Amino acid sequence: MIFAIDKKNSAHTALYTADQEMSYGELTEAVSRFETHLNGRNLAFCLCKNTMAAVIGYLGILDQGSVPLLLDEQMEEEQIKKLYDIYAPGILWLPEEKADRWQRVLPGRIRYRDRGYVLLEPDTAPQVELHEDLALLLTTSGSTGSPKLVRLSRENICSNAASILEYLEITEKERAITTLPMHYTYGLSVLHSHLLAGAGIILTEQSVVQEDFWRLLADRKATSLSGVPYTYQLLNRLRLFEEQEDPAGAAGLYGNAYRSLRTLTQAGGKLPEELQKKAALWSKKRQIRFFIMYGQTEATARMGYLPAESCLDKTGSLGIAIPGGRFWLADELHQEIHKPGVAGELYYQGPNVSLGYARRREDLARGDERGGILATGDLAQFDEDGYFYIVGRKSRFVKLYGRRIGLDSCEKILADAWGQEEAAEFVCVGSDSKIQVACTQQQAAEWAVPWLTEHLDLPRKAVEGLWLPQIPRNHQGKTDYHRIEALYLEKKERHTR
Amino acid sequence: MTNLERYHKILKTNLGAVEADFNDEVMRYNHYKKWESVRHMDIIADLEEAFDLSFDVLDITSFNTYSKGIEILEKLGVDMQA
Repeated sequence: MIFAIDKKNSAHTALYTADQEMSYGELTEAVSRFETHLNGRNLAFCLCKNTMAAVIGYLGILDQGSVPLLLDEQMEEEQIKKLYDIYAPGILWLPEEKADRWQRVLPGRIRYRDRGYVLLEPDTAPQVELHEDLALLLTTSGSTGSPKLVRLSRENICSNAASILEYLEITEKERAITTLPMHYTYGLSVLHSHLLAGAGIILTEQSVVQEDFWRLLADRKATSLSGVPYTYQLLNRLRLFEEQEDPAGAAGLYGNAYRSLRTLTQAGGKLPEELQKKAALWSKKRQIRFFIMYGQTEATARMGYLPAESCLDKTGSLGIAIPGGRFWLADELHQEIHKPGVAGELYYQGPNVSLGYARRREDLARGDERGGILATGDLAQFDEDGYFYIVGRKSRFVKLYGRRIGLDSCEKILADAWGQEEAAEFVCVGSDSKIQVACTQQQAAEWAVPWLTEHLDLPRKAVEGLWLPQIPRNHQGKTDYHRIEALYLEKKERHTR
Repeated sequence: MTNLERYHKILKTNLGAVEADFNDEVMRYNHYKKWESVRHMDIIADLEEAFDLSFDVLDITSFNTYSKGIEILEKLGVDMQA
């Protein structure tokens, strides 16, 4: 069975929720039972929540050889319908409370029910050709409903889970609490690697800003927690990482709930270095391993990791390639860069590199288009010890007055130069005529414009400042550059009116 | 504007709420529209600014329904009748 679930200690608990436990033996049985209701090889839409039912159905679909597309259960119906019309799945695994509505849109019959989920088979499912290597489809952008999908093979999934298990040293004693949704590649990789290890997974839909999350973490004695940068900002806001333990902070919730934690992982974007240091110091003192990791859905999940013992020496680094993978940098002429400190595009090679993208139904018949090599689109450099550092995004450049200016490096030099006690976050967006600097502190926003124009030797009108009460972020907590651009346009319109 | 109206306005701005939603059956964290962590922290920041107060960690983590928000604001000294 997938991840050799049936070969684990059958009495050991695989899945926990607030009020239920399911052993590996019971999980094997539930997955097998689910599979008996599948016919042939189908494309399957799996509407995900962090619940036992969603996990069982997902594993059943994967194990039987059908191809799941994992979607956020909260995705708007209209967007799911749009994806349905493009990809025409033969089956859908979805929460029971949504079944009635879907049956009105897609007449069909319910083949199976388990734990509040139903298996819906639409009456008019056309045959979709699926390539033999295709095992799983993931969206590239969470819940925006873009039809662009990443095509993954079973080897992609299994090899990446095995690498993660190896470098995080996950044993069956681990119990990971879910802080991320399972349709999101990072959340899914936590599920995969822990199942492969025969470890426990505590399923919850709650976020760290909710009391119930901490109660569950304490009750189930979670040993690991994973988060995107935004999760860490929330934990910081909850005063978890304070030097002096703050009884009124998250650390004080429910009798020091965090005490069972042995491992923290972070991925999904770069953590501000100050916060990385703070969290690393806090973790070190409590003998908690803190791993910074790097990846993309296009490489299943993980490509790089910073070993926990280097977290403080190599702050800001994404680390080294995961077991079985390799990183290198290429310059604009596609020549490999061998010198430390020289930036180039980051390439990755490994068995977890996806087959390619799908944008329409016919693409599901395509095979491997990448040959195990991924151009990440990130600009990076490495140090003398071979640790990689992201310095920007290939496309986050503007061409101003004939010069190529990296927006990420603008953000960094501004933050470094600000030098006031209260750190400021600068976000730069731009077009080929202007750079716009957004900041949450009015004083810093006003300072940034003359400083940057002078530093980059640009005309004053090439840089605009914008004070924002908050930096807009998307669902995954990443800076929402498009929203900031929109806010500029709004401001401009107000001025011209 | 009364303090209750201020509270409502912040919920409307951040969650796109309408008057009919202002009850605990409808307005619960993780169930109501887009009330998840990002919006949650935006709401708290707006409340802190509008009422000039500061939410502590327990206030942040226990705020999970419409009326719980009122209860917390009252505990922090906001007169919701005013």
